[in-house]
Amino acid sequence: MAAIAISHLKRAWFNPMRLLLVEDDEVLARQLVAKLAAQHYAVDLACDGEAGWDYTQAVSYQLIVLDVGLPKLDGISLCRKLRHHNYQGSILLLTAKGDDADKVKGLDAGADDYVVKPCTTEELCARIRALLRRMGQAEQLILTWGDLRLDPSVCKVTYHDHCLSITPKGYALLELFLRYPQRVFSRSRLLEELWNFNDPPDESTVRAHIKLLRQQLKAAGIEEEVIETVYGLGYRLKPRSSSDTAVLPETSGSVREATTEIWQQVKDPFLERLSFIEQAIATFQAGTHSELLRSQAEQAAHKLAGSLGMFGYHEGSRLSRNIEQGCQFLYTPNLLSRLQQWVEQLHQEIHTAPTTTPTELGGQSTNTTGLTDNLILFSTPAEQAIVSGSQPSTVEARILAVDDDPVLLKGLQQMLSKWGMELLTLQTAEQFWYSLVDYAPDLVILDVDLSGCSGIDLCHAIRQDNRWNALPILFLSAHRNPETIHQLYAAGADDYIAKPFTEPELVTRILNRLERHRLIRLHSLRYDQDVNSETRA
Amino acid sequence: MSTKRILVIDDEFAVLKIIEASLKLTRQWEVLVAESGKEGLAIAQTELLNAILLDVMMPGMNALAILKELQQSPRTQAIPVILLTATVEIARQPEYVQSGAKAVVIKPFDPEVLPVQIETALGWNS
Repeated sequence: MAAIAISHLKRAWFNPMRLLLVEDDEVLARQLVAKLAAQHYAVDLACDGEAGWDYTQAVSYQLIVLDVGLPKLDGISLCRKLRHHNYQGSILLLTAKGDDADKVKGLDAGADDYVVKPCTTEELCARIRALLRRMGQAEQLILTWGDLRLDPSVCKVTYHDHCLSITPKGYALLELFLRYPQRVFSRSRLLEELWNFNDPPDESTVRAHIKLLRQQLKAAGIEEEVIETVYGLGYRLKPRSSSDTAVLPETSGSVREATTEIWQQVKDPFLERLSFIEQAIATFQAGTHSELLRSQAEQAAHKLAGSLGMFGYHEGSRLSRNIEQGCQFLYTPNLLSRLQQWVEQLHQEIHTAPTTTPTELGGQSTNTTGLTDNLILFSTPAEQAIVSGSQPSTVEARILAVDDDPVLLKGLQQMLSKWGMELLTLQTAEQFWYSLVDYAPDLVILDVDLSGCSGIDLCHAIRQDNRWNALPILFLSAHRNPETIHQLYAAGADDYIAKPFTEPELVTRILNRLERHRLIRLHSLRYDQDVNSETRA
Repeated sequence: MSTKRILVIDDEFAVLKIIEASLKLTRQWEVLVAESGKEGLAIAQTELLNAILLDVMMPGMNALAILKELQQSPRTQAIPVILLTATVEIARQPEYVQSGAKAVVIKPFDPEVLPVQIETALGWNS
């Protein structure tokens, strides 16, 4: 139950299966696109930084893979620009071998991770999966619906342990529904999610694919309906039992009613704003350019983006955000028609009833506390440290590090103590379980090769234990072969840093992990409280 | 739960109304509203408040200037402030992070969740 709730914690709505690759090396790009397509991602490829930027203005990608050395606009600048323009998805950088300065610059520019080139497509795919998993915070490694199981790492679907034969698009659809169990996807939404710019079919194709998927699920012996049609809206994963659909608290009825009433008062002004944007686009299309008009249109879209979701028009907020970003480029003729499309869609959206189905709103679901996705606290030392770049007085974290290299352990001790972190080091895994209980660390650092046992096995064992399955685990390793990296992520590692690493890199990663862990814990705590109080009521 | 008095400063009518409904109906808190920074500062000087929700992007006085004024006045400097913005980037910008505000709530927020977010940000739930 808690896992379902947490999987809804997204900062904003992204196309979960659609990725952007910005890479000018044609050979690598082609390999990657093929590999990612085989994993059922819809991949758009841009060959230079500026084209990459244009793509991001048209589609909300959940993850962008950026090469550092790009023509026109380099990867780090593009990364900075994206972050500056509120891009909240993950950014993975591809850096040249041994260029530590680039790694640090990249991470500081807002990248979430990097892979050193030349890299294998396997490693890159594992990194992408890990980042997507992290965005889903505590999202499960395996997605399930009753006895139906989908393992995204190997793209396998099983029912009662029998492997299902499903078409690639059917698989992608199923993964999407399983990832967002309470979300209703319209057909146009599914098109945007799962098909890239190069193969845009029409809505009847979606219908055909859904039909085929249903047949395939039925053929596998699943009697119940898995994908439900929501009339007038689209499709969603059928809730399995009442426990899957959380009950709204008592008070929410009245807040909802009030919201509906307020909507009646503000609907017309909102529509006026939309008309204004429409007129601005028309003016630009007619060739009359005015910076004032452009910025006013952008402003109007900004207001709509910030407000519509409060009234249940989640899709409306998303479209408005697209329009807001698009308005920065009103001078670009080929974007104008795209903008017009969004405005039309937004019109339709506002004229229909708001979504009362629990869906994601700016990333939050209306029936869970959705706390951490659009609330950002300023007071934690970790965040202060990351933002200001200064060292916090204390981070008050306890770290347990296991590595057979005493020199490295000593180095860690020096690095982390400067940040106020307490470190317990072990050269072998012998005392590990005892220390885990006794020291109760906030984060564990492991090496792949430990004397007497494998760090990966140890990681796996930690994940099997209920007490520690959420504990952040970070690997430090000189291993760069993709199999090992794949194995450690599969064993449940949260992050991996290749040796040698720099201090800022290590500290940033640790702070990030701690902060994420804190937010997840905070959320599940509140969620449990809510569930308890509901149960009592 | 003790009653709180919250001031909301936002130039958007819809936002003021929604926050008012949300906090009143779910928590029975008292909500005061201001449509501009100037008006907000005047209310803050004369009313006893438990917290202020402040929109970042308003015409006229900007949020940083309002925060600064609140901090300079002995009467208002202890009132915790939560920023509201539809611009996520605000949460990364040092001038906001170090502005003395406690947290940022990104719009659109869920009116049913907002009260919990305020409680979390201000430590009112422990």
